[in-house]
Amino acid sequence: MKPRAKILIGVLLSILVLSLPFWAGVYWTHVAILSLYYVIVVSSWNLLVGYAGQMSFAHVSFSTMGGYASTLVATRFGIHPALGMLIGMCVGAIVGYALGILCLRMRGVYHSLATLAFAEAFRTVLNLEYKITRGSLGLLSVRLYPGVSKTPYYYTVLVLAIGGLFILYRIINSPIGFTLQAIREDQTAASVAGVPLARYKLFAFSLTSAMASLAGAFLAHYLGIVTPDWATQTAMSFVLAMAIMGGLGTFIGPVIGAVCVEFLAEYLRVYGRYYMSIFGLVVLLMLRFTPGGLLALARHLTDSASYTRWVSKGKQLLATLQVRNK
Amino acid sequence: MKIGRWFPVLVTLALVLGIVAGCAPAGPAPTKPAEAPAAKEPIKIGGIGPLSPPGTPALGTEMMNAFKLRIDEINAAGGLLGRPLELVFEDSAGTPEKGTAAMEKLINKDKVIAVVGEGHSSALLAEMEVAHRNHVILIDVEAWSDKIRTRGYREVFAIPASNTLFNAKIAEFIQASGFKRPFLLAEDTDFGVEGIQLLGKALENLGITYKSLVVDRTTKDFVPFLLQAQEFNPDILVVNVTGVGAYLIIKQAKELGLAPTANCALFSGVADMGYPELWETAGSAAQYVVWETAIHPKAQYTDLTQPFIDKYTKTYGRPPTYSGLQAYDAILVLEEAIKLAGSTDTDKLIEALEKVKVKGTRGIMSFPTEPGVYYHQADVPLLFLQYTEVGQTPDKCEIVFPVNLKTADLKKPPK
Amino acid sequence: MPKSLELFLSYVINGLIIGNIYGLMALGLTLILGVMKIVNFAHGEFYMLGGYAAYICSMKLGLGPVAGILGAIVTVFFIGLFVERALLTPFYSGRLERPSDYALLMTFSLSVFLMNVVIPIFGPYQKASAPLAEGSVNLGIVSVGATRVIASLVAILLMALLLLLLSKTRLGIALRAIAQDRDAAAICGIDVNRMNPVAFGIGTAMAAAAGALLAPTFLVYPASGSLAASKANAILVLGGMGSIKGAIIGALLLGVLESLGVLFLSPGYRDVYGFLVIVLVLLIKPTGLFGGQEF
Repeated sequence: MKPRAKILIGVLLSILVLSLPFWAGVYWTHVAILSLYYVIVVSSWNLLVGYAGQMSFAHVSFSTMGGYASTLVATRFGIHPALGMLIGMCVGAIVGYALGILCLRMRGVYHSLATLAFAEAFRTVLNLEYKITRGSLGLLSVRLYPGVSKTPYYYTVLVLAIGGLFILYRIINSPIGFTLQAIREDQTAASVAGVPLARYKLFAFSLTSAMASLAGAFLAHYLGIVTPDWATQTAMSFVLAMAIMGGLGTFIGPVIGAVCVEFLAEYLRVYGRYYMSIFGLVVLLMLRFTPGGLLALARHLTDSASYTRWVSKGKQLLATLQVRNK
Repeated sequence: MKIGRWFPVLVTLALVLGIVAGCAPAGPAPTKPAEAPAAKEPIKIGGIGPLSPPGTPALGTEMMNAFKLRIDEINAAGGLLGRPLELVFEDSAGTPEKGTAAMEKLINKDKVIAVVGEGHSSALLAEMEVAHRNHVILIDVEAWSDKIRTRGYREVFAIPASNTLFNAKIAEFIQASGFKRPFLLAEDTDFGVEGIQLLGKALENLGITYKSLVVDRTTKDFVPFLLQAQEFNPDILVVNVTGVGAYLIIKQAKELGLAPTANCALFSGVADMGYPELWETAGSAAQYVVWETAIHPKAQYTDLTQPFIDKYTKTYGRPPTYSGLQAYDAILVLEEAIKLAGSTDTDKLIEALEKVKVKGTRGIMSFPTEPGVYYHQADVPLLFLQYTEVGQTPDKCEIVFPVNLKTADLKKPPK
Repeated sequence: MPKSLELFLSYVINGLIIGNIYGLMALGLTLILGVMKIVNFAHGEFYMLGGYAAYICSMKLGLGPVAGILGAIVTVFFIGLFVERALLTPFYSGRLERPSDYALLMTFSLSVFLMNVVIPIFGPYQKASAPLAEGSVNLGIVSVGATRVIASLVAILLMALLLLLLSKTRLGIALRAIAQDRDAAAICGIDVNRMNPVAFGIGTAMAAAAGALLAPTFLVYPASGSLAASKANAILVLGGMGSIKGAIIGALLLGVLESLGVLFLSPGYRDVYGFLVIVLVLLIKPTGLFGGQEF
């Protein structure tokens, strides 16, 4: 594709995205805001799991944590939600660091089990400490902006998402990024080559947890509520699905995955009970047959080599049919 | 470059935009009642309630069915203001999160003129905020928390009893029946926790010592909590847990030999007690359980009650519980308000609602405007019934409280 | 007997009775881990499917509780076979860059799918299956539901049968050989690839049996697998990944540890202790009590 065409399309998309609240209507702006929230959460998870290779089922715990931390300081101490969001982010960074320390010496399945145990324990504690958290009911939070309009929320989360993606992009395409990938590929070799594993792993954990917490704090102040349901493994599977569908371990994958899956989920919602099953099935099939996600699928479909292969297969099929009909 | 890195990106984004474009104008069809004349623009009424756990699905389904019944009746008679009514019912699952999402959809996407329903206080408290923010009417059908009333939102109207009223009655019942050592178990929700506080205070005022424990409503194994109750040696166990826990706790209490026994009665004040699922799940343990309802054939039927019960039973294959009646009444109230206001504008409807006196299936409803726990609160009868046989239906139960409407004394299981 | 000791023993007895059944489930998980080297994150959902199968056989078809349990075992065994063939074969194909990540993500996604696919089929309501017994059993210190006691005994029976299978039959010996050393087993002529679905099938069938046994007590509903899975995971980690002895003893130990926690801390936190156990064990001795030893 000519560079000029690419620029043109890029400009068009940017205009659409930047002006979204003005043409999409209230409800779809809401969906777009949720998508951008997921972009931040999934992209950060992608850095941790896809690039650094540290499998974690605790990511949604951090977005939830950010939501609760921010809400608690805003409602109990009257702190402005924006400041609350920063506090939430710091809490996430610290706890993420702690989780990283916990998982330092673990590998593979043990690592995943530890993060799973952490995630479930966190959620259970949220439910049990109802005097502070109001348990399974969730906490009602302070909204970030007065008034009913969703427009300021959209632009806020858009800025957060672009900012987050920018940071991730710089990290991935820097020596840090390469080192993280080296750790993913072969931890022992990396260590032998002189990489201080602990420092990098902890960095990955705290940065990604901080991002997720910030996003979660934002969401709490947008929806006006934060609940333990945010920290369930079903919620985690959404993040997973988005990363897989988009393409795990790629930069743009999470963005595509987050947006597509969120819009798809809203669209499927009319099927009521069937929607999560259809969704789950799609994820399973995608994982099984195209682990590279939609990105790889699209590439595969539009790849010139496979295109000619299909055309020749089609021709063969036609030929056999004609022979039969004679 | 070949086809290029960007092409697949665009393919997928095209997919997205396609979905967006496809969805932007209008949402796909929501649930519609049978006859809706296509000519006129329908009046959309939003329904909300638990259709899935952790809420009580039987309750949400019953509300939805009752709404549909009345709306169909109205449409058969020509609709309201010359327009047909259309029900859009969304599942709140009894949680604040799903509830708020459902409200957002009903208000912003479906553009309903009012929302009716909900059976779980915590969900309603969150949904109320959305209704208030968007200035849309919300009629509470079966959520009891005082805060729903005391917040004083003009858009919110309450059909069921408040926690204050309910717990005052429980305390009276405990005293009137001569119990001296109640143990209170409640779920960790606004309904449960508030209830313990209110009941506790009421019991203290009557000089009755008690002990209480808050339980996680999603747990299935209540034995550790029940063992603690057993240590206290109570003579009545007051259990306010909704959802399937309501049934399990009874079963497990019976298995432990705690209640209902000759030494200890069991009272459960939740809507779940009225459904046949009680017998399916708790089995014979539920015999001798005392529970609460708003109506009974031997007390307080209006001339609308029996016809509704018959019609509901015929249409849906099972009789309604008091929640179904409350749901039906909610639509009656909204209907009267629309007629009185002559419009679907929110402010006019609020004015109308504050003026109406509507005869429903449980009595006459009106909504006072004094701030406090009786704000926009319809007057509600409260009856305490007891299951005396296994598999008994609610209308065969005996009324054991209030004293002036009693049909039998409290029965104790044999030793 | 002092009140608190009596209370403690009540907790312990209850904990052991239920813990036993989770032990059965953990055994299945251990089998899968040992033979296939995969931690089945969907194990809880097979427990849940077992519960639904028991519900169908014993209630809907009216065949009674025993048929319910057998039905659960047989049905889920075949479901397990199918799932392994359909979804897990890439793990062994050698074509994947990160097979263990694949197995994790796949079983995890499977668990979410299974949890949600039963909703349109059975509805979101809880179901009960026919209990093995009615009423309570008075054990002196505490009364326990008769269903639980009988279920616990059946679980012990099934565990014994499994152990017998593993030690006395050719199939069992083959499975143990693969668990010890896959390549050596292949060299000895065992068709390792055909053993995978069998191991998965048996493992998930054990989870299903546990689900069927606990269905009358704790009911069956789409999310019922989550709690069971976390208990099974805790047992797995505590006892030592891949150790059968560890799974059995780990189950009993977990029951006691939880009861201690309930007594000294709080009843509500009982299920959190399992997670604490996992984390502590992984920190201190990741191989668990008996891990690293032979199957």
